[in-house]
Amino acid sequence: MTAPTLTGALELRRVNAGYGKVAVLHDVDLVVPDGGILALLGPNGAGKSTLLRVASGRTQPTSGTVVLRGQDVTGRSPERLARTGLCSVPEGRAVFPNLSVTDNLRMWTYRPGLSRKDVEERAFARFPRLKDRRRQLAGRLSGGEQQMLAMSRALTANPDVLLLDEISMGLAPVVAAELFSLVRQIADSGTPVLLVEQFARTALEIADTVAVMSQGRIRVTGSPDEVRDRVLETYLHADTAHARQDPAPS
Amino acid sequence: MSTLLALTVAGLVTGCIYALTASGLVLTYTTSGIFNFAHGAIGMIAAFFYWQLIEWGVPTLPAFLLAVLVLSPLMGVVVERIMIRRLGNASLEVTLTVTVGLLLLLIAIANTVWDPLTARRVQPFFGSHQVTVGGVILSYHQLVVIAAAVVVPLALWAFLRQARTGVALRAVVDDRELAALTGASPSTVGMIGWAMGAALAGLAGVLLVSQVELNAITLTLLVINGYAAAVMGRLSNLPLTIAGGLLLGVLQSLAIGYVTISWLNQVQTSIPMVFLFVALLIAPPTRLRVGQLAPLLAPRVPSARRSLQSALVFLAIAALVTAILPAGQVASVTHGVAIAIILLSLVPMVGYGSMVSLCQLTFAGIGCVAMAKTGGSVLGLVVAVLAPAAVGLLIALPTMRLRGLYLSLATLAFGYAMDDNFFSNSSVMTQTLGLPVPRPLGIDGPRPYLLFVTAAFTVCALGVLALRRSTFGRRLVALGDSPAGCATIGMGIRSTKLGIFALSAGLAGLGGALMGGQEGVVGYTDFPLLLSLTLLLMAVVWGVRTISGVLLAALFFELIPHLNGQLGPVGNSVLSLLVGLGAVGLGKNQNGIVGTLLQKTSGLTKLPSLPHPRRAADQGDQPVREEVLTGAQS
Ligand SMILES: Nc1ncnc2c1ncn2[C@@H]1O[C@H](COP(=O)(O)OP(=O)(O)O)[C@@H](O)[C@H]1O
Ligand SMILES: [Mg+2]
Repeated sequence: MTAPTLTGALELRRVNAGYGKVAVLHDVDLVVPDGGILALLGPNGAGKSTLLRVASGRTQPTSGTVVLRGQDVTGRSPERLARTGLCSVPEGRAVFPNLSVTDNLRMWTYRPGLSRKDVEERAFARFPRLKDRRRQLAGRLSGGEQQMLAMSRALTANPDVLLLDEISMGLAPVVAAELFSLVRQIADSGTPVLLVEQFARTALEIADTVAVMSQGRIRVTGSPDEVRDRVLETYLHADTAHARQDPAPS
Repeated sequence: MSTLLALTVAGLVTGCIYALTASGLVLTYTTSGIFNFAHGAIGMIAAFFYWQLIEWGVPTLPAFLLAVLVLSPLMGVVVERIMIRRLGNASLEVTLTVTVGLLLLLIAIANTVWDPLTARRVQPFFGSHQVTVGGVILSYHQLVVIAAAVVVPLALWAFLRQARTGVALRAVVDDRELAALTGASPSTVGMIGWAMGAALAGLAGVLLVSQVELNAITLTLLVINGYAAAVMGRLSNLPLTIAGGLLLGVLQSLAIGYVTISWLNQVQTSIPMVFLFVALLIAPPTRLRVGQLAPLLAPRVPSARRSLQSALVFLAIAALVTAILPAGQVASVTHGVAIAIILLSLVPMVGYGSMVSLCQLTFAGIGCVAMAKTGGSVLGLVVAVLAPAAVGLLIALPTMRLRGLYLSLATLAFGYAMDDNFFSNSSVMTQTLGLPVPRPLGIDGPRPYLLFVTAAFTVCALGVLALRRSTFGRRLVALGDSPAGCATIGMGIRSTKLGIFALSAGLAGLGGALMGGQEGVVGYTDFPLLLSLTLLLMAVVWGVRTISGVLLAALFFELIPHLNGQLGPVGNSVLSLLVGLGAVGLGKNQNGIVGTLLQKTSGLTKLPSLPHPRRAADQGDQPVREEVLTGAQS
């Protein structure tokens, strides 16, 4: 147990992490405040997803600590973290493609205290389209519907912290807007959200705080306005420069 | 007509048992991505345990429940915890060898605990009670089997559909990492999958045991019928698998009843092979895998110069050893070097081509018989290579469209059928005394022959290394890397793979012929399938990607009987312990002993490791293969 001087729902303290010998995160310090949306922005390959992997227990940091609600949870398995209240929606379509919509919802009940009925009621109330397609395999849904299904986990889990990785990727603007308004709604109901996005504009609009990351380091943290004014130019600049010398892996 | 009906019904009952065991196999395979070759051996242990309980006076029902619902799942859990869990993203040869090692270990345990020379019988359930249904006599036992085959798959189906754990089992197959993020524990779920699979194996074993003789090897290998049925269900479809089991049972029963082919000793053991091959032929092709990066430790390939130098040094030492070796040891060392040639045949196949044959000794036997029939001339040696190569080609051909595991299954079924129908055939082995095998090229005297065999090994080893450096070798490695990538650049995948498989079979044939020449006479027990499995295990444990690895494996293998002799009755258990440790150790150290040593002296090339969610089992070979970095030596 860490001393109760906590300020954040989730904290990363001097975290270093990588894959094998490739170091990706360098001394990352990040505090997800106990409420509101923290948007984490950065160019492709900056290490945003890696940071979320560390926070959710899928990748173990080589050094540093992860603190969830004042408790040191470094080294905890992702399933234990998930059950304690950390909900993480990974990059891509975070659904089980060969399971039906109902079976996917069934999996959401691994979060303690949720019954099958609770999950279905809440998910279908927010996304009636899922109800019509509940017998379909998730892999056969449209991209937007799949992301709704994925977000229904965040919606029903009532987590301590919610981690979202590029949920708008590849979606039509209308669908993306709908998802972002849901994120705002979840945050307003009291759940702290860490929202990772590559494209800044929409994220800046709904975020309460913004952190910018590049090359495995947190570069700037501040309010959306500060970040917009001071950093966006340089960051976009860094983006292209970075892309030129270090092409993103495919 | 009534014979037909009776045979069909009897076949259906046996088919029910195949269906049960095959469902267990499919369940573990789809949930863990690991094909459990020891599935039958788990059933075998359950059957022996059941017999033991009955022997101790435990009533039938508790004995049945203890064997099927306690011991079997426990075995599944232990195996998953100790061996399977750490396999992560291991290559095909490692995952395969680990469960093959488990199979050998369980047989060794059974033979240690229950003396194989004692005859044991188990009464069917309800003794000899029977009913007549529509003119067909059915024993109560058969009714129990049918009931089990109806109830268990339905229960399994309901569990997978309705229970949350059942849903999680399917979810973990789909996306392991996401399953963890929802809060389901993939490792617990994997354990449940193995426990259930093992329980099904145990159920089949206990149901079968009163119908066949209680023999460790027979019971273990009966599972090949289960594999055949599972292949019919493409290793993933439960209803098709069950249908396959039933069909196989009926076909086998009808074949036993109606087919009399004088030169086939055991029709029933050839049926699963024929069935498997038909199933392979009609299976839809597997999609090609796109290249993946995985933790890699690939042995560096020595340059032509280095290899030649090492070869000369090796030959010089061998000549010295030959000269000073005590007369009593020459035969056994020669045998060991011949075995080394057989193991060498695994290097291009497994090490470069990512294919695994489970019947390399069968190919050796074919080579040996071929040479014995044509005489020990140069022609004889050529035939000893060409005959198994041709057979290998035929076996590999139908599996080329499919993922690597299917080739291994086909070789296992082939070896099994050959054991019972070819090597034990009087027209092959000529007499009960065995088949006389000449020494090739008329080389006489034990020491010159040892030198000759050693020289043959050296030449073959140089050839294998040269192959690796050639364009063909680079093709092979590229293939292991990314079949899809190769296809897009227009490389003939099938012909490359077939070529390498045939070559390996031919090399094994040469080793077999030279081994036969050493023995002078070979009998039908000289090329048993189980020994192929032991040899594979040895090779992979010592390092199947390097020449030194297989050489050490062969010498170690040759030491075993001596160890056994020295240790007396304890020998067997010590040995099985070694086998087990080898298999467990593999999970941890997948490059074998030589690989580990090389790694310490940095003779390996390493790439960064990437996390890989184990994906749906039907996406390619074992989902991951190593990225072999040939760049290191060019
Ligand atoms: N599985 C992996 N193995 C090795 N390197 C990886 C892996 N995933 C990501 N990387 C590397 O880590 C860096 C950060 O990637 P990532 O965290 O996915 O960035 P982002 O999400 O910000 O685009 C990149 O350079 C990428 O190449
Ligand atoms: Mg990312």
